[in-house]
Amino acid sequence: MAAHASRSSGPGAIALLSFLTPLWLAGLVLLPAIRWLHRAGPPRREVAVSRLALWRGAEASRPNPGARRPPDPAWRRRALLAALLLIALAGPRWPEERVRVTLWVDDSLSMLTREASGTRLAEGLASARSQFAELPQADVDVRVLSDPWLRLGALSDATMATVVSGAGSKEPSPPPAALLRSDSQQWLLTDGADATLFAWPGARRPDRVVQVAGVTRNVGLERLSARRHPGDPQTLDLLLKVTNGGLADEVRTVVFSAGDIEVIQSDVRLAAGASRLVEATMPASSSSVRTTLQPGDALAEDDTITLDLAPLQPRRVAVDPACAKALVAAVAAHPALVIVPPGKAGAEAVLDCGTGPESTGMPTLRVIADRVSSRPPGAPRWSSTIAESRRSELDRSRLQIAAHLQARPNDSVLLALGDEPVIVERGGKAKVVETSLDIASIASGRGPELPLLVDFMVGTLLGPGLLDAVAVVDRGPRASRVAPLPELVASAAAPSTTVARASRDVIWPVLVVALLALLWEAAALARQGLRLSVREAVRVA
Amino acid sequence: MASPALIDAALPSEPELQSFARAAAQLLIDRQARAPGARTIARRPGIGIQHFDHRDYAPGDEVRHIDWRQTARLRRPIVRRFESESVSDWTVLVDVSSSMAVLGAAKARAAVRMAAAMAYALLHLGHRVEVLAFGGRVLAHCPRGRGQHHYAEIARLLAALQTVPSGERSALGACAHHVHGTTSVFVVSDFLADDEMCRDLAVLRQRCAALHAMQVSDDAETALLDAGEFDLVDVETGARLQAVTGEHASASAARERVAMTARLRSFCARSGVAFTDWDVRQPWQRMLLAHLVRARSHC
Repeated sequence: MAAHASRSSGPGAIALLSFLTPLWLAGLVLLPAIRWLHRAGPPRREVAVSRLALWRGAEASRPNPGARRPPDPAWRRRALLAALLLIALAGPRWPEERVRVTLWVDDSLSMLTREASGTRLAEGLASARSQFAELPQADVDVRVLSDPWLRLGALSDATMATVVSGAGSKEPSPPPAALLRSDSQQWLLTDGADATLFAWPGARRPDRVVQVAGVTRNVGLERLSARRHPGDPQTLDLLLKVTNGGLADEVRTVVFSAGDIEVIQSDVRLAAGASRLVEATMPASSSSVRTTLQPGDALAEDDTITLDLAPLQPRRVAVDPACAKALVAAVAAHPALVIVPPGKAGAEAVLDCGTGPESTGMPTLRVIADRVSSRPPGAPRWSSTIAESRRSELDRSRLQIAAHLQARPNDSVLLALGDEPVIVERGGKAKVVETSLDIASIASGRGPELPLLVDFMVGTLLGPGLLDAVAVVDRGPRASRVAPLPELVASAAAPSTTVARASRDVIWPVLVVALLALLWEAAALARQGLRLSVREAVRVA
Repeated sequence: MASPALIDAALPSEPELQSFARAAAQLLIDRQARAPGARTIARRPGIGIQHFDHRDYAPGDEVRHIDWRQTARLRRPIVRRFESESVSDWTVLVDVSSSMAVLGAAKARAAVRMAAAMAYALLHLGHRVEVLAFGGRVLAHCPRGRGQHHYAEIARLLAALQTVPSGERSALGACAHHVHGTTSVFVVSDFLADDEMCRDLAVLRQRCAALHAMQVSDDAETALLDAGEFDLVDVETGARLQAVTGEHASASAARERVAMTARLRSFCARSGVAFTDWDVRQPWQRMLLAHLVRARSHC
């Protein structure tokens, strides 16, 4: 049932008590039942006497026919208690003049732009606080758009510090509909640079927009990615996207550096709102690359971008000396793999050709050859769980097997020749891939099957995408935009005049009164019991 | 019927009993107590010092009891007989009905103490004593015996007596078949019954040589502490009465109790039953001696 308290009260409205769940009030019809249950009057105590004839003179006069005994006075106390509990369950609310405000704070990266007296975020929060000071009866609830479900409470210094410290870490989004309560005003603190933050659900609009946007010039680094050069594994290709998020043409110098060593510089000219891609190469031995824009601007946070190159480092594979030379050569030729001697620390996978330990706990590719090569009937069949992009075209004439694999219930058959499984991923804690393919017969064909199969099996162990790994840092196209959009400025200039009035829970006062009534009842019962016990003790004494 | 509970009466101590026995000796040894009233007690020959009559000598008679003067006068052996004095049979009846159990069984405890004292005094003088505890029927019985060792049995029986808080009626007549013509009967009861047990007393009086009635009463049973509406429940019959209690009701109950006592006293006077009304707050020694003196004075 709709709550009366959720409605806005206009001029001349009478403030009345309302209930969240007034259905409970139907229980008040039980009050006459309580009185009816007490119709017999106060309970009479039984007293054992030695001879009833002695007390004939004390016999109570019988009521006249039709006359009723007065009910037990305790019914009023108990009815009061029941009524109070029912009212408390109904959730009474008292309308009041307090205004409830939810302040939605845009904590995107652009809000860290330096303005005249600090960042936009700090200025905006200070401005919002001064506006709240004009509403002494306001209950303010602060939430950030990057994490709308986190309730930060009132706009205190601690809340402001929390908002500032977390700004720019996540991409903001419009507030969810469930949090747009109709009994509270919705304020939005933003710089107006991101139109998506005004796309509120249900065509709702903020009741008030606190906009802070003075600076209109900014160039930022939007995205930096790196990948191995296809022709030279020792070289990395870098691709940088630079965006002009301001309203004026800009010229910047882009500096790529690995550690403290500057690798390359490049000058970039950008029109207002335009983006440009900058390409560069650098040695693959670096663990990270740092890109900087010079000179800096008001939003320093997007002038630097650092990319961790660790995902592009080659993976170390311990190779069993008993492996066929063609297999070892295929591993060595893989751009993402490097061979280390067996038993050496730091190996990330093991290639076992029959002389390695049974279980090392590491991802293991086991090549089994315990019989004479044979060509099983049937065409190669990939498992349906293997993505199409990972499947290789295999020439069945060059595929022979040198062992017979048994697939157990927890295993996954990745490749089969007809009904014969040839690549099986074993179930268990450690990743183990076993193959019965005859490596020598495949290598003798001089086709591309062996490197592709090695990439597939090692990729199964260490994760797909080994051949073309890409490391990327992407801030999104809106990160560098600092200039307010004109249409947003227009909407912010006409703040809503809707006033939502809050209502206050009055459950606790009712419960306190109910508790007092309960204590009254308990005291009455205790007094009655005490009186009876004392009387009995005195009589026995 | 509620579960029975031990009366837990502290029997009088040995010095108390001996002191009482010495004090009561003259009241119990000289002759049988004669009850007041129209009916006289038949004298019986037996062992004693008071002359009873003469009769012809019979084989087995004591030679020293031959009255030589009468033998010479009548020219046949005549022996002298004596009135039986020191040895008689007593039956002590103790009421343990539910009405004796109210107010913490104060009346039952008092009755047990008095029965123990009376039995001890009688045994001390050589009488034979049996004890019966009755409610709606005979609930406990200690057969007739003599001597101090018999008191131990009586004391054990009295100590083990139980009262039932509710449902145990008072039927003194149930003890009638235990009484024979030469027995003296001592009844300790509150006599709270439909006719104050007058009918049962009359039956007993017909079957015994002497009858003593010691009414045990307690002023507290006619005083309810609080005023208000109560359901009064008769502990013996279970009958209920809605009553408004207070000072007026308590006074009315006390008057009714006095009236019942008066009716019982009047009946005993007419029937030759020695009667005493004993409030349990009075010392049992004084009340029992006063009762014996009163019974003696009516002989």
